[in-house]
Amino acid sequence: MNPEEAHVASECLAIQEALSEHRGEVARLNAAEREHVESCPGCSEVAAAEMALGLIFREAVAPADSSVVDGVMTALRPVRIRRRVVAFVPVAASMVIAVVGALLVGGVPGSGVLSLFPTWSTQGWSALLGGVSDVYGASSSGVAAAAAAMNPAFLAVAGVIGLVGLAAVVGTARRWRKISPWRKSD
Amino acid sequence: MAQKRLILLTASVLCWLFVTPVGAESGTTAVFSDLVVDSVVDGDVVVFAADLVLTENARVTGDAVAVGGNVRVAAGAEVGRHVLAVLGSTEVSPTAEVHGRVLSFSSLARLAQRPGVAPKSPRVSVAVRLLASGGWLLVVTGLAFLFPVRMRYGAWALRPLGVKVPALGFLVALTVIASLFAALGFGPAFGVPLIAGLMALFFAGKAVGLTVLSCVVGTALLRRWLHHPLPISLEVFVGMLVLLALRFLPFAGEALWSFLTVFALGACIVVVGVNPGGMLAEPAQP
Repeated sequence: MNPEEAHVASECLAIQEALSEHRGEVARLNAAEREHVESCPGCSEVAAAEMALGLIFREAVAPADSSVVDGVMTALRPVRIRRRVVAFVPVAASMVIAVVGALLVGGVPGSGVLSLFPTWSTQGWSALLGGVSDVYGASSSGVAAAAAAMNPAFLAVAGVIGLVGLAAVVGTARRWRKISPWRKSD
Repeated sequence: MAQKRLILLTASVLCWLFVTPVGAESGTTAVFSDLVVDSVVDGDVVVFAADLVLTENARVTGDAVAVGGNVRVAAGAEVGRHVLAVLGSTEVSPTAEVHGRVLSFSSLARLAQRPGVAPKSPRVSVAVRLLASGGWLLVVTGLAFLFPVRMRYGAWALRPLGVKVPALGFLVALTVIASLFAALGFGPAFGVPLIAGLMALFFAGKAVGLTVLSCVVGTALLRRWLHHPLPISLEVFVGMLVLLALRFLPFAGEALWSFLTVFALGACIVVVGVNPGGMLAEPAQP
Protein backbone atom coordinates (compact mmCIF):
# COMPACT_ATOMS: atom_id res chain seq x y z
CA MET A 1 0.00 0.00 0.00
CA ASN A 2 1.52 3.33 -1.06
CA PRO A 3 1.29 6.42 1.23
CA GLU A 4 -1.65 7.91 -0.69
CA GLU A 5 -3.65 4.69 -0.45
CA ALA A 6 -2.76 4.43 3.24
CA HIS A 7 -4.02 7.96 3.82
CA VAL A 8 -7.33 7.22 2.09
CA ALA A 9 -7.73 4.00 4.09
CA SER A 10 -7.04 5.85 7.31
CA GLU A 11 -9.58 8.54 6.38
CA CYS A 12 -12.19 5.88 5.58
CA LEU A 13 -11.49 4.20 8.92
CA ALA A 14 -11.94 7.42 10.85
CA ILE A 15 -15.14 8.32 9.01
CA GLN A 16 -16.60 4.83 9.43
CA GLU A 17 -15.91 5.01 13.17
CA ALA A 18 -17.65 8.38 13.29
CA LEU A 19 -20.59 6.90 11.38
CA SER A 20 -20.92 4.04 13.83
CA GLU A 21 -20.88 6.52 16.72
CA HIS A 22 -23.58 8.63 15.04
CA ARG A 23 -25.65 5.56 14.06
CA GLY A 24 -25.17 6.25 10.37
CA GLU A 25 -26.51 9.81 10.44
CA VAL A 26 -24.43 11.46 7.73
CA ALA A 27 -25.90 14.85 8.62
CA ARG A 28 -23.96 14.81 11.90
CA LEU A 29 -20.62 14.66 10.07
CA ASN A 30 -18.77 17.79 9.01
CA ALA A 31 -18.84 19.06 5.40
CA ALA A 32 -15.58 17.39 4.32
CA GLU A 33 -16.62 14.06 5.83
CA ARG A 34 -20.07 14.25 4.17
CA GLU A 35 -18.40 14.91 0.82
CA HIS A 36 -16.14 11.89 1.37
CA VAL A 37 -19.12 9.63 2.17
CA GLU A 38 -20.90 10.73 -0.99
CA SER A 39 -17.91 9.90 -3.16
CA CYS A 40 -16.74 6.72 -1.38
CA PRO A 41 -18.77 3.54 -2.03
CA GLY A 42 -17.34 1.75 1.02
CA CYS A 43 -18.24 4.54 3.45
CA SER A 44 -21.68 4.97 1.83
CA GLU A 45 -22.33 1.27 2.41
CA VAL A 46 -21.30 1.54 6.06
CA ALA A 47 -23.52 4.61 6.49
CA ALA A 48 -26.50 2.75 5.05
CA ALA A 49 -25.85 -0.32 7.22
CA GLU A 50 -25.47 1.74 10.38
CA MET A 51 -28.63 3.69 9.56
CA ALA A 52 -30.58 0.44 9.05
CA LEU A 53 -29.28 -0.96 12.34
CA GLY A 54 -30.21 2.27 14.11
CA LEU A 55 -33.73 2.07 12.70
CA ILE A 56 -34.14 -1.48 13.97
CA PHE A 57 -33.27 -0.41 17.50
CA ARG A 58 -35.32 2.77 17.26
CA GLU A 59 -38.45 0.92 16.09
CA ALA A 60 -38.13 -1.97 18.47
CA VAL A 61 -41.03 -2.00 20.91
CA ALA A 62 -41.37 -3.70 24.27
CA PRO A 63 -43.89 -6.58 24.46
CA ALA A 64 -47.40 -5.36 25.18
CA ASP A 65 -47.75 -7.91 27.97
CA SER A 66 -45.45 -6.83 30.81
CA SER A 67 -45.64 -10.32 32.31
CA VAL A 68 -43.52 -11.54 29.38
CA VAL A 69 -40.77 -9.11 30.39
CA ASP A 70 -41.10 -10.13 34.01
CA GLY A 71 -40.96 -13.79 33.04
CA VAL A 72 -37.81 -13.34 31.00
CA MET A 73 -36.13 -11.32 33.73
CA THR A 74 -37.12 -13.87 36.38
CA ALA A 75 -35.77 -16.70 34.25
CA LEU A 76 -32.51 -14.85 33.76
CA ARG A 77 -32.06 -14.01 37.43
CA PRO A 78 -30.51 -17.36 38.52
CA VAL A 79 -28.15 -17.24 35.54
CA ARG A 80 -26.99 -13.74 36.45
CA ILE A 81 -26.54 -14.70 40.08
CA ARG A 82 -24.56 -17.79 39.07
CA ARG A 83 -22.33 -15.66 36.85
CA ARG A 84 -21.66 -13.24 39.68
CA VAL A 85 -20.82 -16.13 42.03
CA VAL A 86 -18.42 -17.61 39.47
CA ALA A 87 -16.87 -14.15 38.97
CA PHE A 88 -16.35 -13.85 42.72
CA VAL A 89 -14.39 -17.12 42.99
CA PRO A 90 -11.04 -15.53 41.93
CA VAL A 91 -11.59 -12.73 44.48
CA ALA A 92 -12.15 -15.32 47.21
CA ALA A 93 -9.07 -17.28 46.09
CA SER A 94 -6.99 -14.09 46.30
CA MET A 95 -8.29 -13.47 49.78
CA VAL A 96 -7.29 -17.00 50.82
CA ILE A 97 -3.74 -16.49 49.48
CA ALA A 98 -3.39 -13.21 51.39
CA VAL A 99 -4.74 -14.73 54.62
CA VAL A 100 -2.43 -17.76 54.33
CA GLY A 101 0.50 -15.37 53.88
CA ALA A 102 -0.59 -13.31 56.88
CA LEU A 103 -0.94 -16.43 59.02
CA LEU A 104 2.52 -17.66 58.03
CA VAL A 105 4.06 -14.24 58.72
CA GLY A 106 2.79 -14.22 62.28
CA GLY A 107 -0.93 -14.27 62.54
CA VAL A 108 -3.88 -12.19 61.56
CA PRO A 109 -3.99 -9.01 63.65
CA GLY A 110 -7.78 -9.14 63.86
CA SER A 111 -7.88 -12.56 65.52
CA GLY A 112 -5.33 -11.48 68.13
CA VAL A 113 -7.38 -8.41 68.83
CA LEU A 114 -10.56 -10.39 69.28
CA SER A 115 -8.95 -12.86 71.63
CA LEU A 116 -7.86 -9.95 73.84
CA PHE A 117 -11.12 -8.09 73.58
CA PRO A 118 -11.49 -6.91 77.23
CA THR A 119 -7.95 -5.49 77.25
CA TRP A 120 -8.43 -4.08 73.78
CA SER A 121 -11.59 -2.25 74.74
CA THR A 122 -9.82 -0.30 77.45
CA GLN A 123 -6.29 0.12 76.15
CA GLY A 124 -6.12 -1.11 72.57
CA TRP A 125 -7.41 1.98 70.81
CA SER A 126 -5.23 4.35 72.79
CA ALA A 127 -2.22 2.13 72.02
CA LEU A 128 -3.15 2.10 68.32
CA LEU A 129 -3.61 5.88 68.28
CA GLY A 130 -0.26 6.25 70.05
CA GLY A 131 1.42 4.10 67.39
CA VAL A 132 -0.17 6.08 64.54
CA SER A 133 0.80 9.31 66.24
CA ASP A 134 4.41 8.11 66.57
CA VAL A 135 4.56 7.18 62.89
CA TYR A 136 3.06 10.55 61.93
CA GLY A 137 5.58 12.34 64.16
CA ALA A 138 8.51 10.44 62.66
CA SER A 139 7.21 11.06 59.13
CA SER A 140 6.81 14.78 59.85
CA SER A 141 10.31 14.88 61.22
CA GLY A 142 11.65 13.12 58.12
CA VAL A 143 9.75 15.49 55.81
CA ALA A 144 11.11 18.50 57.70
CA ALA A 145 14.67 17.14 57.47
CA ALA A 146 14.34 16.39 53.74
CA ALA A 147 12.77 19.80 53.04
CA ALA A 148 15.52 21.57 54.98
CA ALA A 149 18.13 19.78 52.86
CA MET A 150 16.59 21.02 49.61
CA ASN A 151 17.09 24.36 47.93
CA PRO A 152 13.74 26.27 47.75
CA ALA A 153 14.39 26.95 44.06
CA PHE A 154 14.58 23.21 43.47
CA LEU A 155 11.25 22.69 45.23
CA ALA A 156 9.71 25.41 43.06
CA VAL A 157 11.08 23.79 39.89
CA ALA A 158 9.68 20.46 41.07
CA GLY A 159 6.29 22.12 41.52
CA VAL A 160 6.42 23.60 38.02
CA ILE A 161 7.40 20.22 36.52
CA GLY A 162 4.54 18.62 38.44
CA LEU A 163 2.03 21.13 37.09
CA VAL A 164 3.36 20.91 33.51
CA GLY A 165 3.25 17.11 33.74
CA LEU A 166 -0.32 17.20 35.00
CA ALA A 167 -1.35 19.48 32.13
CA ALA A 168 0.40 17.20 29.62
CA VAL A 169 -1.34 14.10 31.02
CA VAL A 170 -4.77 15.76 30.94
CA GLY A 171 -4.14 17.07 27.41
CA THR A 172 -3.07 13.65 26.18
CA ALA A 173 -6.08 11.96 27.76
CA ARG A 174 -8.42 14.45 26.08
CA ARG A 175 -6.76 13.90 22.70
CA TRP A 176 -6.93 10.13 23.03
CA ARG A 177 -10.66 10.25 23.61
CA LYS A 178 -11.02 10.36 19.83
CA ILE A 179 -9.37 6.95 19.43
CA SER A 180 -11.92 4.16 19.28
CA PRO A 181 -11.10 0.92 21.06
CA TRP A 182 -12.15 -1.21 18.12
CA ARG A 183 -9.55 0.32 15.80
CA LYS A 184 -7.03 -2.40 14.95
CA SER A 185 -4.21 -0.13 13.80
CA ASP A 186 -3.49 3.56 14.33
CA MET B 1 3.52 17.42 17.54
CA ALA B 2 5.05 14.22 18.86
CA GLN B 3 8.53 15.74 18.47
CA LYS B 4 7.52 18.79 20.52
CA ARG B 5 6.25 16.59 23.31
CA LEU B 6 9.41 14.52 23.23
CA ILE B 7 11.52 17.68 23.46
CA LEU B 8 9.44 18.90 26.42
CA LEU B 9 9.78 15.55 28.14
CA THR B 10 13.54 15.40 27.56
CA ALA B 11 13.95 18.98 28.77
CA SER B 12 12.01 18.15 31.92
CA VAL B 13 14.16 15.12 32.67
CA LEU B 14 17.39 17.03 32.01
CA CYS B 15 16.18 19.93 34.14
CA TRP B 16 15.37 17.45 36.87
CA LEU B 17 18.75 15.75 36.77
CA PHE B 18 20.59 19.08 36.60
CA VAL B 19 18.71 20.86 39.34
CA THR B 20 18.72 18.01 41.86
CA PRO B 21 22.45 18.08 42.70
CA VAL B 22 22.42 21.88 42.71
CA GLY B 23 19.55 21.94 45.15
CA ALA B 24 21.13 19.72 47.73
CA GLU B 25 23.37 21.01 50.47
CA SER B 26 26.72 19.31 50.80
CA GLY B 27 28.14 17.61 53.92
CA THR B 28 25.09 16.02 55.47
CA THR B 29 23.16 15.55 52.25
CA ALA B 30 23.85 13.39 49.22
CA VAL B 31 22.06 12.84 45.94
CA PHE B 32 22.60 9.80 43.70
CA SER B 33 25.70 8.77 45.70
CA ASP B 34 25.91 6.80 48.94
CA LEU B 35 26.76 8.75 52.09
CA VAL B 36 28.92 7.17 54.80
CA VAL B 37 28.86 9.00 58.14
CA ASP B 38 31.85 8.26 60.35
CA SER B 39 31.88 11.22 62.75
CA VAL B 40 29.65 13.54 64.78
CA VAL B 41 26.95 15.36 62.78
CA ASP B 42 25.03 18.15 64.45
CA GLY B 43 21.60 17.99 62.80
CA ASP B 44 19.96 15.76 60.20
CA VAL B 45 21.53 13.50 57.58
CA VAL B 46 19.50 13.13 54.37
CA VAL B 47 20.21 11.20 51.17
CA PHE B 48 18.16 11.01 47.97
CA ALA B 49 18.24 8.03 45.60
CA ALA B 50 21.19 6.49 47.45
CA ASP B 51 22.06 4.57 50.62
CA LEU B 52 22.95 6.07 53.99
CA VAL B 53 25.50 4.20 56.12
CA LEU B 54 26.24 5.14 59.73
CA THR B 55 29.44 3.50 61.00
CA GLU B 56 30.23 2.66 64.63
CA ASN B 57 31.73 6.16 65.13
CA ALA B 58 28.70 8.01 63.77
CA ARG B 59 26.79 10.34 66.11
CA VAL B 60 23.84 12.09 64.45
CA THR B 61 21.90 14.47 66.70
CA GLY B 62 18.90 14.76 64.34
CA ASP B 63 17.17 12.38 61.91
CA ALA B 64 18.78 9.92 59.51
CA VAL B 65 16.64 9.91 56.35
CA ALA B 66 16.98 8.12 53.00
CA VAL B 67 14.48 8.82 50.21
CA GLY B 68 14.73 6.13 47.54
CA GLY B 69 17.50 4.26 49.36
CA ASN B 70 18.37 2.18 52.39
CA VAL B 71 19.65 3.19 55.84
CA ARG B 72 22.19 0.97 57.60
CA VAL B 73 23.11 1.77 61.20
CA ALA B 74 26.14 -0.14 62.51
CA ALA B 75 26.70 -1.35 66.06
CA GLY B 76 27.72 1.51 68.36
CA ALA B 77 26.31 4.26 66.13
CA GLU B 78 23.92 6.77 67.70
CA VAL B 79 20.97 8.65 66.18
CA GLY B 80 19.35 11.42 68.23
CA ARG B 81 15.94 11.18 66.62
CA HIS B 82 14.35 8.96 63.95
CA VAL B 83 15.74 6.61 61.31
CA LEU B 84 13.53 6.78 58.21
CA ALA B 85 13.75 5.09 54.80
CA VAL B 86 11.20 5.99 52.12
CA LEU B 87 11.04 3.47 49.25
CA GLY B 88 13.91 1.64 50.87
CA SER B 89 14.70 -0.48 53.90
CA THR B 90 16.30 0.09 57.31
CA GLU B 91 18.88 -2.20 58.87
CA VAL B 92 19.71 -1.21 62.42
CA SER B 93 22.16 -3.17 64.57
CA PRO B 94 20.69 -4.27 67.91
CA THR B 95 23.50 -2.48 69.72
CA ALA B 96 23.04 0.80 67.85
CA GLU B 97 21.34 3.57 69.81
CA VAL B 98 18.32 5.16 68.15
CA HIS B 99 16.36 7.57 70.33
CA GLY B 100 13.37 7.88 67.97
CA ARG B 101 11.54 5.40 65.77
CA VAL B 102 12.90 3.24 63.00
CA LEU B 103 10.54 3.41 60.02
CA SER B 104 10.67 1.96 56.53
CA PHE B 105 8.08 2.75 53.86
CA SER B 106 8.71 0.01 51.33
CA SER B 107 6.82 -2.81 49.71
CA LEU B 108 6.78 -6.21 51.38
CA ALA B 109 7.82 -8.05 48.24
CA ARG B 110 10.83 -5.78 47.71
CA LEU B 111 11.99 -6.46 51.25
CA ALA B 112 11.62 -10.17 50.63
CA GLN B 113 13.79 -9.95 47.52
CA ARG B 114 16.57 -7.54 48.51
CA PRO B 115 19.84 -9.31 49.31
CA GLY B 116 21.06 -8.71 52.84
CA VAL B 117 17.60 -7.60 53.99
CA ALA B 118 15.54 -10.61 52.94
CA PRO B 119 14.57 -12.85 55.83
CA LYS B 120 16.84 -15.85 56.28
CA SER B 121 14.00 -18.28 57.00
CA PRO B 122 12.48 -19.71 53.79
CA ARG B 123 9.13 -19.94 55.60
CA VAL B 124 9.06 -16.20 56.30
CA SER B 125 10.26 -15.42 52.79
CA VAL B 126 7.46 -17.53 51.28
CA ALA B 127 4.96 -16.01 53.69
CA VAL B 128 5.92 -12.45 52.79
CA ARG B 129 5.66 -13.24 49.09
CA LEU B 130 2.28 -14.89 49.60
CA LEU B 131 1.06 -11.90 51.59
CA ALA B 132 2.25 -9.38 48.99
CA SER B 133 0.92 -11.45 46.07
CA GLY B 134 -2.39 -12.09 47.82
CA GLY B 135 -2.80 -8.40 48.50
CA TRP B 136 -2.27 -7.43 44.85
CA LEU B 137 -4.46 -10.31 43.62
CA LEU B 138 -7.24 -9.25 45.97
CA VAL B 139 -7.09 -5.64 44.80
CA VAL B 140 -7.01 -6.36 41.05
CA THR B 141 -9.62 -9.12 41.06
CA GLY B 142 -11.81 -6.95 43.29
CA LEU B 143 -11.57 -4.07 40.80
CA ALA B 144 -12.35 -6.43 37.91
CA PHE B 145 -15.34 -7.82 39.81
CA LEU B 146 -16.72 -4.37 40.62
CA PHE B 147 -15.99 -2.57 37.32
CA PRO B 148 -15.94 -5.27 34.62
CA VAL B 149 -17.00 -3.08 31.67
CA ARG B 150 -14.55 -0.29 32.43
CA MET B 151 -11.62 -2.69 32.83
CA ARG B 152 -12.53 -4.60 29.67
CA TYR B 153 -12.65 -1.32 27.78
CA GLY B 154 -9.19 -0.45 29.09
CA ALA B 155 -7.84 -3.78 27.85
CA TRP B 156 -9.32 -3.14 24.39
CA ALA B 157 -8.02 0.41 24.25
CA LEU B 158 -4.42 -0.64 24.93
CA ARG B 159 -4.08 -2.31 21.54
CA PRO B 160 -4.61 0.73 19.28
CA LEU B 161 -2.57 2.94 21.58
CA GLY B 162 0.38 0.53 21.80
CA VAL B 163 3.69 1.95 23.02
CA LYS B 164 2.10 5.33 23.69
CA VAL B 165 0.71 3.91 26.93
CA PRO B 166 4.06 3.26 28.68
CA ALA B 167 5.26 6.65 27.39
CA LEU B 168 2.28 8.29 29.06
CA GLY B 169 2.98 6.20 32.16
CA PHE B 170 6.52 7.55 32.25
CA LEU B 171 5.12 11.08 32.11
CA VAL B 172 2.71 10.28 34.97
CA ALA B 173 5.53 8.78 37.06
CA LEU B 174 7.69 11.85 36.46
CA THR B 175 4.79 14.09 37.45
CA VAL B 176 4.19 12.12 40.65
CA ILE B 177 7.87 12.24 41.62
CA ALA B 178 8.10 15.97 40.95
CA SER B 179 4.90 16.55 42.93
CA LEU B 180 6.26 14.52 45.85
CA PHE B 181 9.34 16.73 45.98
CA ALA B 182 7.23 19.86 45.61
CA ALA B 183 5.06 18.69 48.52
CA LEU B 184 8.14 18.80 50.76
CA GLY B 185 8.09 22.58 50.35
CA PHE B 186 4.79 22.82 52.20
CA GLY B 187 6.42 21.73 55.46
CA PRO B 188 5.39 18.89 57.77
CA ALA B 189 1.90 20.23 58.54
CA PHE B 190 0.72 20.14 54.92
CA GLY B 191 3.52 18.13 53.34
CA VAL B 192 2.83 14.84 55.15
CA PRO B 193 -0.90 14.70 54.26
CA LEU B 194 -0.08 15.82 50.70
CA ILE B 195 2.56 13.14 50.29
CA ALA B 196 0.24 10.54 51.83
CA GLY B 197 -2.50 11.60 49.40
CA LEU B 198 -0.16 11.49 46.41
CA MET B 199 1.07 8.03 47.40
CA ALA B 200 -2.52 6.84 47.81
CA LEU B 201 -3.32 8.18 44.31
CA PHE B 202 -0.19 6.52 42.95
CA PHE B 203 -1.11 3.11 44.37
CA ALA B 204 -4.75 3.45 43.29
CA GLY B 205 -3.61 4.28 39.75
CA LYS B 206 -1.15 1.43 39.77
CA ALA B 207 -3.87 -0.98 40.95
CA VAL B 208 -6.27 0.09 38.18
CA GLY B 209 -3.52 -0.13 35.55
CA LEU B 210 -2.34 -3.54 36.75
CA THR B 211 -5.92 -4.79 36.53
CA VAL B 212 -6.04 -3.79 32.87
CA LEU B 213 -2.62 -5.27 32.10
CA SER B 214 -3.57 -8.49 33.90
CA CYS B 215 -6.75 -8.62 31.85
CA VAL B 216 -4.75 -8.36 28.61
CA VAL B 217 -2.30 -11.09 29.70
CA GLY B 218 -5.00 -13.36 31.15
CA THR B 219 -7.24 -13.02 28.11
CA ALA B 220 -4.36 -13.82 25.75
CA LEU B 221 -3.45 -16.91 27.76
CA LEU B 222 -6.90 -18.31 28.52
CA ARG B 223 -8.41 -17.69 25.09
CA ARG B 224 -5.58 -19.71 23.59
CA TRP B 225 -6.90 -22.86 25.27
CA LEU B 226 -10.49 -22.05 26.15
CA HIS B 227 -12.41 -20.61 23.26
CA HIS B 228 -15.42 -19.32 25.15
CA PRO B 229 -15.83 -16.10 27.18
CA LEU B 230 -14.75 -16.23 30.81
CA PRO B 231 -15.43 -13.86 33.72
CA ILE B 232 -13.01 -10.95 33.60
CA SER B 233 -12.05 -11.53 37.24
CA LEU B 234 -10.73 -15.01 36.31
CA GLU B 235 -8.73 -13.58 33.39
CA VAL B 236 -7.34 -10.87 35.65
CA PHE B 237 -6.45 -13.48 38.31
CA VAL B 238 -4.47 -15.58 35.83
CA GLY B 239 -2.84 -12.52 34.26
CA MET B 240 -1.81 -11.13 37.64
CA LEU B 241 -0.31 -14.50 38.63
CA VAL B 242 1.90 -14.28 35.53
CA LEU B 243 2.92 -10.68 36.32
CA LEU B 244 3.72 -11.62 39.93
CA ALA B 245 5.80 -14.58 38.72
CA LEU B 246 7.78 -12.11 36.59
CA ARG B 247 8.20 -9.86 39.60
CA PHE B 248 9.79 -12.57 41.68
CA LEU B 249 12.33 -13.53 39.02
CA PRO B 250 15.78 -13.54 40.66
CA PHE B 251 17.60 -10.78 38.74
CA ALA B 252 15.31 -8.97 36.34
CA GLY B 253 12.26 -9.11 38.62
CA GLU B 254 12.49 -5.64 40.15
CA ALA B 255 13.30 -3.95 36.83
CA LEU B 256 10.36 -5.72 35.18
CA TRP B 257 8.06 -4.70 38.01
CA SER B 258 9.19 -1.08 37.72
CA PHE B 259 8.43 -1.14 34.00
CA LEU B 260 5.04 -2.73 34.69
CA THR B 261 4.33 0.01 37.24
CA VAL B 262 5.06 2.71 34.65
CA PHE B 263 2.96 0.86 32.06
CA ALA B 264 0.14 0.49 34.61
CA LEU B 265 0.11 4.22 35.33
CA GLY B 266 -0.39 4.88 31.61
CA ALA B 267 -3.10 2.22 31.41
CA CYS B 268 -4.87 3.81 34.37
CA ILE B 269 -5.09 7.13 32.53
CA VAL B 270 -6.56 5.28 29.54
CA VAL B 271 -9.24 3.68 31.72
CA VAL B 272 -10.08 6.67 33.88
CA GLY B 273 -9.37 9.64 31.64
CA VAL B 274 -9.82 8.53 28.05
CA ASN B 275 -12.97 6.47 27.92
CA PRO B 276 -16.20 8.11 26.84
CA GLY B 277 -18.44 8.16 29.91
CA GLY B 278 -21.73 7.19 28.29
CA MET B 279 -20.25 4.13 26.66
CA LEU B 280 -18.98 2.71 29.92
CA ALA B 281 -21.99 2.83 32.21
CA GLU B 282 -21.65 -0.24 34.45
CA PRO B 283 -24.68 -2.50 34.22
CA ALA B 284 -26.87 -2.84 37.29
CA GLN B 285 -25.77 -5.70 39.52
CA PRO B 286 -28.25 -8.54 39.95
